[in-house]
Amino acid sequence: MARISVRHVSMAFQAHTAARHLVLSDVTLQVEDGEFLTIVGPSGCGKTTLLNLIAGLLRQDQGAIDVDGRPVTGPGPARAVVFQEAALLPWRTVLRNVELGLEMQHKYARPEVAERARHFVLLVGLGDFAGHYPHQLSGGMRQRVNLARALVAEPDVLLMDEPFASLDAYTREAMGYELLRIWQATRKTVVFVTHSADEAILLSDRIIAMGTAPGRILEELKVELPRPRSLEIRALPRFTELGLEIRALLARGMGSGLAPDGAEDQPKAARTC
Amino acid sequence: MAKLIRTVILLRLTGLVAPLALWQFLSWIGILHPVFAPPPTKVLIRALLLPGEAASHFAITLGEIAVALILGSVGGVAIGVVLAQASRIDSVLGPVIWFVYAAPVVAFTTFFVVFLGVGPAVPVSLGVLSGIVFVIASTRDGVRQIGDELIKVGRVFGASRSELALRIIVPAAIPMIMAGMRVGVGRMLVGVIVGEFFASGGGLGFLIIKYGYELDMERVYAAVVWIVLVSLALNGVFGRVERIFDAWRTH
Repeated sequence: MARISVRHVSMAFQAHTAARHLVLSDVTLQVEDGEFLTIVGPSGCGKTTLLNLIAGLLRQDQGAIDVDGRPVTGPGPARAVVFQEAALLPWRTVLRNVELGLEMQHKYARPEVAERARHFVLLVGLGDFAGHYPHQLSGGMRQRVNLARALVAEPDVLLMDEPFASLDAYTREAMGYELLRIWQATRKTVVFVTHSADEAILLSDRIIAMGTAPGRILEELKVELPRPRSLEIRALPRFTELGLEIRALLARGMGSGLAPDGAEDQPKAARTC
Repeated sequence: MAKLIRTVILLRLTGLVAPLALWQFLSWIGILHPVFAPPPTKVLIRALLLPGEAASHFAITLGEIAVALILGSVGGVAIGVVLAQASRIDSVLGPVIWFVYAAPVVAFTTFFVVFLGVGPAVPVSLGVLSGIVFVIASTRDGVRQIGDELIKVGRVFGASRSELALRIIVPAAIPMIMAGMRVGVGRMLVGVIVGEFFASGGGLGFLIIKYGYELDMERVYAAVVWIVLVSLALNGVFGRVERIFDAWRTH
């Protein structure tokens, strides 16, 4: 049985300008246990909305979403989100921010929560910064905290919403390898959202390409590149081929090559995709 | 920079000392009446002696302001959080809050005396009523400014309603709440003193009225000096706390 099952899901946002904007149209996909799935697509394709639906932060208008065979009715401890902006609590240290991922489940006593949090602070390579506050960290370090906070929650599924989008190109690439290392160590089921084709190929077992207006699935690609992966994987001809394939797909998915829907009459929730 | 700060301090001292010197001079040459406008030196001496003479009254006023501050801040934050999230309640209560903000709180003294009797409850009530509006308004605006992302973090990681409020929403709004408290606490002190004027058996406000009837103006002004000092101290404390929390917002 698939870990996540999304069947015929459609979703519309009521824009201020009266017209209903179809963010997702008849989306169907499955994610297997332990799989790293990436959803790639341009802004406005509904990929963040899809992630929020799986997280239970939004409700779909039509269709069904099951996680572990049970319909999603709201957020739950089995699904942790790594947010696009790190969204750390500025008044908490790194360690205390990571603890937040676990403490409100009331599963463990305080010292146990702290111990588990410390384990993941070390795993993401921030051992020396456990006592630092978010404003003392770089963007990449904040995203490591963001990731550790999600991992400590002991989720079955990790939902990652363009977590490296606000980082500079070099930090972003380094974080990609970091994520591979951490994923190798934890083997969670991951749904990762990005607009970078290269990032998608580097990380994923499978890639789903989405198009805009309405947001829909264009095609699905298997990434058969060997694991564990590192920098050298970029030299493989298959890496380049996949990159071209995805870029061609996405260009086709955007119709005329221009974004068909003016960004200004999209509601905020759809635009942040 | 240091020189500039020194100049500012010097100018401020001049602003404080010059009128006092003029007052002292006018007393000396007999233009100001020694009973109604006693010279600053005499007021200063009385002010230094007052805590010893009237320790219980200081304790009463400080106790009342402490209780008013706790009730006003806890109540104000709770109301502010609710108003920020329930726009209908906000619409209903909005005019009431503006009314309390604009009305002279002293007018409610009789109302409180009727319900609470003469005693410390009246100054505390007037103190809370005078300052709570600022705490409510700043909390409400502070909570509304919190990014959607932090709320989502709370929901994803299983926060209950009260956990969301106490661990995420209120701490995130604390810089704004502190700004409201800084204004509110000064008003609360004035409310407490006014309450003591009319309806209590003690406190600095009570002393001002009592000494006034006795035409002991030296002690009246000495009490005023202490009220101003308490107000400045409270303002300083909240200003400092506000700056500490401000560091979060700028990063």
